[in-house]
Amino acid sequence: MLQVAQDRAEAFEELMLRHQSRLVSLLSHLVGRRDMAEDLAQDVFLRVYRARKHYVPGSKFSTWLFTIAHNVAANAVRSLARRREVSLPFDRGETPAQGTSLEALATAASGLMPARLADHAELRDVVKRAVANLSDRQREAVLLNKFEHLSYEEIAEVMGLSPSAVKSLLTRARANLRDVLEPYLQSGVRAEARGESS
Amino acid sequence: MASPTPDDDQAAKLEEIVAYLDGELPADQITQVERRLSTDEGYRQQLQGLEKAWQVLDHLPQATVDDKFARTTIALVVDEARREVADRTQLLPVLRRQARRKAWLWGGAAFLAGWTLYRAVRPDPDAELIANLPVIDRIEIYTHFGELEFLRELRPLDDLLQVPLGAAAAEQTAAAPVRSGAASVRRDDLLHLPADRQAALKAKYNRFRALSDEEKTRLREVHRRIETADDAAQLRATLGRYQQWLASVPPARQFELRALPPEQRVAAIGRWAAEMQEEAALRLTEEQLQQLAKAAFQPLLQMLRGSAADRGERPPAPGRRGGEREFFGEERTRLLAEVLQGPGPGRAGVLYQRLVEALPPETAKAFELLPPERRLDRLRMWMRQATSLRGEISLQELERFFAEELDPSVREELLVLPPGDLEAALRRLYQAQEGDQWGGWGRPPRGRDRGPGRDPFPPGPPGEPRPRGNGGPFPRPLPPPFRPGREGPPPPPPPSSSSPSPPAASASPGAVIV
Repeated sequence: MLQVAQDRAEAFEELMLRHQSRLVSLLSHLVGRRDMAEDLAQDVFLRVYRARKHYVPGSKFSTWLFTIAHNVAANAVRSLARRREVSLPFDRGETPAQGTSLEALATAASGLMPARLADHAELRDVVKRAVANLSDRQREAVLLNKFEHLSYEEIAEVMGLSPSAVKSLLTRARANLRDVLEPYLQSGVRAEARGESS
Repeated sequence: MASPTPDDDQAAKLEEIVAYLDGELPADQITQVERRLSTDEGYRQQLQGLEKAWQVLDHLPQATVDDKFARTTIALVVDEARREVADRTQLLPVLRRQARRKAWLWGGAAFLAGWTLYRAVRPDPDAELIANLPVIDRIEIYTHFGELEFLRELRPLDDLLQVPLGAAAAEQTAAAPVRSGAASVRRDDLLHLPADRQAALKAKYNRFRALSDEEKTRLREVHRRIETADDAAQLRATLGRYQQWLASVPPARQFELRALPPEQRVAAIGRWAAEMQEEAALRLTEEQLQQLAKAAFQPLLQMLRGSAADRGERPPAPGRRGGEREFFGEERTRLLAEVLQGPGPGRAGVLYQRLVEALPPETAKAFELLPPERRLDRLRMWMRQATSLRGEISLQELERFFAEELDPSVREELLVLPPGDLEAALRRLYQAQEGDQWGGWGRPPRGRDRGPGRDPFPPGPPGEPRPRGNGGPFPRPLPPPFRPGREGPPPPPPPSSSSPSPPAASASPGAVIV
């Protein structure tokens, strides 16, 4: 990042290539739309470029990057909410789903077939729904912790919370995930999603 | 305080397990958790459930982006960079102006800060002068005494210590002393002093710096004690008068005064001050001397000549001064003694009256207060001075005076002077010396007490500079130069009746009488 601050183009390109997939993935889960996530990721990189002179040497770049991403995603979600366009990602045909909620899936009897446990596609679908049914903040905390390996303190810095609040957030998120995923893992039965429980 | 509910316990247990799994638990709690895991089956199952659900998250689909995303993003960034460059180019003159202005501002601020710092830390070259200014201003007078008792003993002499106004030295020291205020006040005073006063102060400062630390401390202590004394105002007034008086005293006498033991010093000061005051009162200007000669000396000469004519005698021809003096001899002495007896019905009394009336009132008053023998001395001096004003002291008379009448020690002092100064100093001595030109009548014995360190070169009329060597240049050097001494011809023999008389002696009554 120090080289980016010195206007070295190849350094910025390398930085972007290193983080672009993770960033798009995070934003996809946060806003629920892939196309929008890519636009937002580009916006994030542009902001990084504009703010390159203000980067404080010594601070962790990923924390700085995800802080910008958090703000960009939050703005986008607010805009979507104002336009009442917020909906579950499964509404846009990315993944054909049954209805608009997990309730139907949870009550489906298809889980009675043990062979389906090995079906990774179904597992991904179940996991995806479980994550999607977390609250926005729980989801973001889980993604940052699980996939970006940020500590509680770093997540707190990104999300503008206290470390203890992050701890509570992650505890509830894990409990929710367990409640949804454990029945499926044990007997192939999809549990009833409880949605935002915090 | 409410006790924790089972739900609270459950939530706390869950948080503990999650923190353990995330590696965010403190070391001491890790041990507790692991101990509980080994004993509590339910606790362990809870942990396993959470961990399993967490691991399943690995199956969450992750997005991947293609090259198009990277190219598009790079293109956006390049556009942004171009826009930045364009903006910067457009703003370049403004930015440069701002940069220059900023540089000037910073430079000015740095200069000001540096200057302020320099002023704050550099040693003030005037610090010692400012701190000791009142002491330095009075250094000369403070070196004259150590105890305040000296000033208190001087207080009865205040009237005697009044110096006649107009004396150059007294005027200089009469200038208001510098104030003993704060440093800023003193500095302000210094800056506004006249140039000559500043120069004098600088000389005093140099003298102060040359003193030892002990002496400096002593002077400061003297000043402090004066300023803190109960009678500080009176002490300062006495000090001021003493300082003025001392400035009017010749340096040699100042030196001798300082060398006197303290118990004798006040008495000497009183005696000398009285003499100086009397001398000042009896000093006549050139015009007054001419008036006196016309009013008194001419009739006196005519009386002498008339008496001689009455006796059928004839004095030597005018111009033969020594001869006429010897001719009048006893008659002259008797007549003067008669005149100086005071006013009376006779011709001597009338002459005395004319003499007194020709004097300025203050001088006449002082003259009449003198004892008769001192009146005679003063009269002789005025006669000599009147004669000198007309340039009628011949070189031969001066040579005779030098060879016959001066003490050997005074002659030694004179011989070291340059020829021009020697002649002028000799002329002054001639005027000032109460001599024996009057046949020894009323002449005081040589070596009588005239005060310790009596200056052999008495000061001239008011405002006239002193001879060089002991004073300043002479106003009227007489050609040809008189050169007695080792390098010049030996002094001529005492004048006799056959020696040629000085020219134009008869024209002046004073010259004939003297």
